[in-house]
Amino acid sequence: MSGIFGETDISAMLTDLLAADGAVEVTLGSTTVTGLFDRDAVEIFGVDMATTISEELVVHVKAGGLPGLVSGVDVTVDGAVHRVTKVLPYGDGAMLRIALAR
Amino acid sequence: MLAMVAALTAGRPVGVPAPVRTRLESPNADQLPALTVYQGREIVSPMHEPRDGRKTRGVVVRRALDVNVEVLAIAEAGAATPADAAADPTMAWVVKSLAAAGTFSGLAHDAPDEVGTVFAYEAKEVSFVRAIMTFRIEFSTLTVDAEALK
Repeated sequence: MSGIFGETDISAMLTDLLAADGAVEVTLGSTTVTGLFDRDAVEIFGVDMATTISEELVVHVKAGGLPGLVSGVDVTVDGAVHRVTKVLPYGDGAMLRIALAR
Repeated sequence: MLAMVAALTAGRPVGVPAPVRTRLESPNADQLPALTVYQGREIVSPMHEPRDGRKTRGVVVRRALDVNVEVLAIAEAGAATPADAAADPTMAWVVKSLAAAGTFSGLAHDAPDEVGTVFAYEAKEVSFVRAIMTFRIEFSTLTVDAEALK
């Protein structure tokens, strides 16, 4: 197997993960795809005083699967509505990294 | 510093957090808004120019202490208040209460002088705003004892 996954490999892996409850549904408008949701603690500010603790909410989806995906739109991730704050290519660009706000 | 914290505490409106002196703990988003008072920079200068041939600064020195007041706030999702306005109610209280405090019962020469504010923003799980307001407080002490006010 090549070190770089193709579109078919990604779709199959996301489908398997969704079936195993390791992925979530991501909906924009009338389109629903499968994504990988992460929630990481991050530290912000903190020049003089201690930092503030926040969370970075990110979902990864296959590139090109969500028409109209841009910063500022609302998406539903695992049943909860989030606002898209960033859309970035992930890895070789076959997937997208979408930063979210509650 | 104690007098400033007291001035910011007494009679504060609903929604304005209790001030903390020199916060060393990291708050989470659900602990905001937060209000912190801490010392920034102190400039010490002689009351008079030194005379020829003397190195002494004199008996009394003038101190200008820059005190920072940090306001941390968040803009809740879907709220009508944008991030840049989320800190406004607390900032307005800081200006009013410190102006009303005057000389802190004679501890300072004058009321705190508002120097300026630096704003910063972050968009994570929610939108954050941080405003660091700087106030200059001038007072005089003995040169050899910073606690002996003059």
